[in-house]
Amino acid sequence: MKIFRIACVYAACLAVLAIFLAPIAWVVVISLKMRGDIFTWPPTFFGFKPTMINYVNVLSGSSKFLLYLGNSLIVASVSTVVAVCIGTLGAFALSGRRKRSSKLWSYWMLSFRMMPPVALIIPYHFLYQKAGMLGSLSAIAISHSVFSVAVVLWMTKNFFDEVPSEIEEAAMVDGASEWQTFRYIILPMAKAAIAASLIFAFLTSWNEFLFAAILSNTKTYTAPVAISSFVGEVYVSWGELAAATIVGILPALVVVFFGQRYLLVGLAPGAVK
Amino acid sequence: MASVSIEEASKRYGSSKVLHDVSLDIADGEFVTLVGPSGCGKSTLLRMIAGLEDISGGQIRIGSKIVNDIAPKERDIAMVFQSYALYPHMTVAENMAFSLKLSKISKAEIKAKVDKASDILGLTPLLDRYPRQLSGGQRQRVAMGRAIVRDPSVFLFDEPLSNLDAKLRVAMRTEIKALHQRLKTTTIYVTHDQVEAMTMADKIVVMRDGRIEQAGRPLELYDHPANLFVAQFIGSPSMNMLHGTIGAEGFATADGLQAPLEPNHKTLSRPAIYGIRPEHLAIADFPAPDTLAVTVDVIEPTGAETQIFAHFGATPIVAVVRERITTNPGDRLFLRPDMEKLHLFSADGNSRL
Amino acid sequence: MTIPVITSAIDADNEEARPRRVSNTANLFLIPAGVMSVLLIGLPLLGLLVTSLFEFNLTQMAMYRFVWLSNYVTIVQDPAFWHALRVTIAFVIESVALQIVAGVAIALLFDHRLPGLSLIRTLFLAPMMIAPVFAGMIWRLFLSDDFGLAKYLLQLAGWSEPPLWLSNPAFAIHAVVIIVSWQWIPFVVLFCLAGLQIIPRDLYEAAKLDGAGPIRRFTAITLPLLMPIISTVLVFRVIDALKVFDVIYATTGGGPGDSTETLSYLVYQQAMGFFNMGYGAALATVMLIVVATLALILIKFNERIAKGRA
Repeated sequence: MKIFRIACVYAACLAVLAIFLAPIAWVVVISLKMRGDIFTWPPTFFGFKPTMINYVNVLSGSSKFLLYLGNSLIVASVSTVVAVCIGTLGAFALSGRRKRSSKLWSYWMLSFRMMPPVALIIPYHFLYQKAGMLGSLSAIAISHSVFSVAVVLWMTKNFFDEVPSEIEEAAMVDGASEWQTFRYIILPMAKAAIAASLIFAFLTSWNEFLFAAILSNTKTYTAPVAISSFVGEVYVSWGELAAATIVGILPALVVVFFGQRYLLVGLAPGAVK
Repeated sequence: MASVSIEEASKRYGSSKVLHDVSLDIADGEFVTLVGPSGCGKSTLLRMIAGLEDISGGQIRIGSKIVNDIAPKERDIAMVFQSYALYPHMTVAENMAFSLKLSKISKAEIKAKVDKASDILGLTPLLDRYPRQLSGGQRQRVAMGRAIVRDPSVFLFDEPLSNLDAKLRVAMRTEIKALHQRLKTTTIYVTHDQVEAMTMADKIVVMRDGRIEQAGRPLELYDHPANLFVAQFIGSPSMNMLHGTIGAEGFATADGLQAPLEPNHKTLSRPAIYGIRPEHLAIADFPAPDTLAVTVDVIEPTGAETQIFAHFGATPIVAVVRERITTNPGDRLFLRPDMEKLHLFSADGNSRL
Repeated sequence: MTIPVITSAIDADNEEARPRRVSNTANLFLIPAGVMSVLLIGLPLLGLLVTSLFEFNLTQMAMYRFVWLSNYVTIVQDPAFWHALRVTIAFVIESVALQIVAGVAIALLFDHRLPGLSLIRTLFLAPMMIAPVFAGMIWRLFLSDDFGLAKYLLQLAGWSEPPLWLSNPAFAIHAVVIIVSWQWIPFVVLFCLAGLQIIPRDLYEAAKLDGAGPIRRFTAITLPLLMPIISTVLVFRVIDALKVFDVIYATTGGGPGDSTETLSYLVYQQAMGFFNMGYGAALATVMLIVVATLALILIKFNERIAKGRA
């Protein structure tokens, strides 16, 4: 009887997983179909001749999508590096130290999470226009940095708070200044947490749409913006669109497959014990 | 090498005072233990000496320098923490070398110092290991190595042996004492274990509720405790206490029994506390005016000695004797206190008579 | 307790027996983050407030004038605003309810110690890590009337004429609810799984011995002990639902008609569609107030639940 129950659980879990991954799987299938195959009815999961032509078209030199992918990569990398540098410093300053205003800081950080990005598009549009930076990748990178800093600070602070105070005291007695304690003791100890926050910041930037859309021009679209520009189109190469979408979600899928440990550290700090 | 002098030091957390104008002088090269129950302020005092806590009042000097506002790294002290506080991402060698690296000494010199320290502590085969690969005792030694390497003026130990098992604790105790004899550095050692404190110290300081109850050589405190608290804190099992009144015939306990008293002690007619240590009670064969008649509860032979738990009237009494006895629970026994080792305290326990 | 409560993240004053010395260099470390937030969040928000007091359109930049609160008056009288508010609230309720119910159910299912299940649980997180825009595109292809698998599956299940999800005003908003829930149910599952694993198994054993059936065990043990987590998740989900924008842009563009025009979308439309910066700023400010109020209420609610159970 027990085996039957276990089998049921497995079956149900796999079914749920299948249901949830079905849309993604379907898009992969479409991306591998030639134009004619896409429109066959009933739609086929197998039973067609797969082709890589959509991917070739999307990623070829003549396609602009490669450029947009590159933009996403640049923006995500830069904003992540900036976020990690500024965020870890800030988290160290706020962690476990008795600052009367640290509660204020925490509320401030929480309000980041709460703020609808739409609220900022008007001032940002104005700001960057005045600075002559509309349409530049730097503008997008800067905007992403702000939110990424909050993410990194939050996550690394949770880790820093767990470091026993005696270690910092030992460093103090050994003669380390605040900076030296941070650089030689705390930072190396936090490698996993920093890696997790790095991954998170990167993904957050890669996935970001609104600010990238507002602040970019046709040369500086990021991947999500490029995809969205096909939204209103009537005549589209669906296969290529599917391929582009899959390429666009590749970083996310890579993280899910390989970065599992880091994901859990980041998503639910304190929930993973 | 330096002396440490604490002058009227006090510590406040918000509105509560944790240390009340404590004064203490520690000579150069002395091994001083601070001992007392949890919350007595011993660790706070140590941390104030280290510079990890601010000093709310009074001064602390290391050598002749007032160090109240000087950062820990400038005070030329080294500290061994209760949880060792080893840097988990560094090897043993790196842990020990860290402070030296910060002071920008040459690599060759660092290596020499680390090698010397690890040689003294027997850490040489472990130099490339990480803390997580070490046993408790080994981590302890690394923590000490980290302190030794800096050749400071003062060593500070904050309950370093608390996390070790009993046997290891005894072994490490001897090692630390041997180390002190070798290096002769001024050492301040905090512990809640009075046996540790007694065996290791040149000078022992008993603290309670933020005050020093008594300071002096260990045997001094053992033989002449200044008040009830010290008397009961030092010595295991603790001193027996009888409450009652000094009278012409002797000491009359609260439940009407008589305990023997020296003639010159019978001067005052006042309520007092009669104290005698378990090890100063001998078994008498016959009842006599100088014996106490007790009823035995439990006999605990430990091999080297026998602990007798009994009752004198309503008061529990413990005696420790060397011989093996065959008394049974419920029997009567006669115990003769060593008159020279008797202690009398005022009724409130605060002073010696 | 390792249950993440929102305010525990706020409570940076950890109860240490010995508070540590306040260091002055620590303040220096905060300067970059501080400067960044002031320059890129604080000032812009101030700018937003200021802009909302103007009648200002980008296409007629020279002709701007200070109109005090008249933009706000217009908002109150604007049927589009109230419609967007209704759409937003209905959307939040529907999507959060779906996420929590489905999330708890799936968490219960996933809460078994079986080999391979942890892989399933990890793969399950994929929808959450995808950009909402891509999610929208994925579902467009999935729900397509011409070649979408969804239509086929629904027909197999007996629904012979599935609607044109994204072009039918009656269904569009529900399609968006489904897409957003698809993305965030894994989030709920993740948190609930953590919460479920904290519940000591002995409680269930004891309840079984007392004769409690599975449903009773759920209502008497699981649900109450899961409440703190659920309320934390609720706060996150509601706040995120209020902010939803990307998915709508990528699928329905606020339509068909205005059936999926949420507050976010309204702001976007006014600012980037019609270039009414002043009016858009006022709308954005109102939206901020709505979100902030709701968030504060929810956090207080969350605090009370956590204190009651912890």
